[in-house]
Amino acid sequence: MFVVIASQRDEIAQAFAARGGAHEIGIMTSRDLSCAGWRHRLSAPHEAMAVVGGRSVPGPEIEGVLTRLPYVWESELAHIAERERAYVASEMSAFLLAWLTSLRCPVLNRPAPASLTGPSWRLPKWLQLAARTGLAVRPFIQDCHALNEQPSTLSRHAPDEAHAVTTLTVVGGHTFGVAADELKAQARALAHAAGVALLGVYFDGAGAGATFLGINTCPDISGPEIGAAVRACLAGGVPC
Amino acid sequence: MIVLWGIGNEQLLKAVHEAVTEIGHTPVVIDQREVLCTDVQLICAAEVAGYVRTPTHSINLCDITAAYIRPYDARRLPAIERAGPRSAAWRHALAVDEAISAWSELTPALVVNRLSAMMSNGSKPYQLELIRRHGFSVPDTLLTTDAAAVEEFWARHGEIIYKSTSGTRSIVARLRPEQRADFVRLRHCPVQFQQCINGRDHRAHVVGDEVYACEVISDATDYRYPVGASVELRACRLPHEIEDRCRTLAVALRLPLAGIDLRLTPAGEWYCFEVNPSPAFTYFEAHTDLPIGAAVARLLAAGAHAAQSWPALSAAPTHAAQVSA
Repeated sequence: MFVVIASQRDEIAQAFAARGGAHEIGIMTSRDLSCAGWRHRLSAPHEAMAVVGGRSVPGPEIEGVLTRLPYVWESELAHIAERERAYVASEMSAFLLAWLTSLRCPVLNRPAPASLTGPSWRLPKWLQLAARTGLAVRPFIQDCHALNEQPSTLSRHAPDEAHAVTTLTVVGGHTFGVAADELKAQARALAHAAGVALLGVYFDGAGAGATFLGINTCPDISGPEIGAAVRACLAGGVPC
Repeated sequence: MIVLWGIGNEQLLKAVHEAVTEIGHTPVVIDQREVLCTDVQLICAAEVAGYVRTPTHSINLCDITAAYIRPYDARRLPAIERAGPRSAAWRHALAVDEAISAWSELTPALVVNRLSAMMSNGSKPYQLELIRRHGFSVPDTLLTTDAAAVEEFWARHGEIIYKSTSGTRSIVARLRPEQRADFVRLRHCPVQFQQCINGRDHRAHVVGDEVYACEVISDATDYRYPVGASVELRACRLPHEIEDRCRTLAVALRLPLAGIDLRLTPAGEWYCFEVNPSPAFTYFEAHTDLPIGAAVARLLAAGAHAAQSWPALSAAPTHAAQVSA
């Protein structure tokens, strides 16, 4: 089976699971981490047991994992006493990092220590990598003047999907979205340089030479073609 | 230029300042207590540039060859906490933290240690697996929500301990029979259990290529919290093979400075439990006279040359490596 790790409110994950095709797709939420049945012994990964959708699943039956949850948020833990939520969220995130890292099957994306969906770099680091990979970038400038009344955080300045003219989605060796082939190749090159198989890449246009704006390691996969490519990637049928 | 970023009067920052000064350099401190009087401009593209202006210094970020960073959460600084989350002071403090943190990830200067490299410590079993892959024996470890699995694991090893899975500091404790009554709570969240390894604790501090080790003589399960038991630290030399393994592990974890927790069993086997990416080396220095601070100072003085071993952007693994362990 394929497993999607997602928020309890993730409609994209639910739609993806509903179109499972030949594979059963189960959704794992933080609620599953509060069920008896988990067993993860570092020296014996083949003996592992997981809980998916409330059901115990032997580790070897899991053939691929799509992670759509960068961390376990406290807001997902309504079933945990409020005073314990921060600690439990941190423990669950740490557990998932270790468990996902131990899996031998395809995992999109492989987790990084600060995010279960892959690198959690700040925008400047993505800009640097993009520039060094050959994408056109505009220099990012952040000014923090003492007691500036205006918010001055990286997130405020970060270009995001809302400002993007063109969104390309890289899934393994394929790129989805309408843009010049050169731009698609650049998106794939960036994903490769970052070591991720699944990446949304935002540009300010669709033509060759369009400027890189930002990324998303948990892109929208609701389109049927993208969904099929993700399933193929999880099945190991597509290089990723 | 050597820069120190953190709370100016914090013990480790002061120790590094003193050690760097002793070898003839003049470190510049970006003191978080002065965050409201600190300006930062960060310019990023393929390279990173900009400046930091404190009440006493104007620092061109391109002039920095090495940095020792030990930042505290600026929101917990008294002035910022008093001002509150909706204040300009709060926003400014966060923005300064973010800008300097972002710089520390991008700069070609030596950074001791990059914040991203410290993250492996946020999941103990994740880090333990990395430790195992680099040649150390590690204790058998189970994470579970299942009481029956704990019973099996306990029966297999005789004595087991439990501790937090995340980076949250916890006291390592042996599991006692009367705690079976608490097993019903296991279902709330996976809990980490480990085979109890008997032996003598050792702490190795890796500073660049140098290794400073001491043994810990104590009967406590967790010598950091001895609860009445005595603790004695003695400087020692590790076998060359173990020293080399410590160096390799520190490089693999991208940590120019690392505190590695080891245990030597009566049978002569070396186990590794954890790598602390921001070790409070002054405690060990004070009890053993090991010159760890001086080594940190020399490492910082080596600057960009030493940084080649700990680059800002780690090489990206291939996609094949990403999806298959």
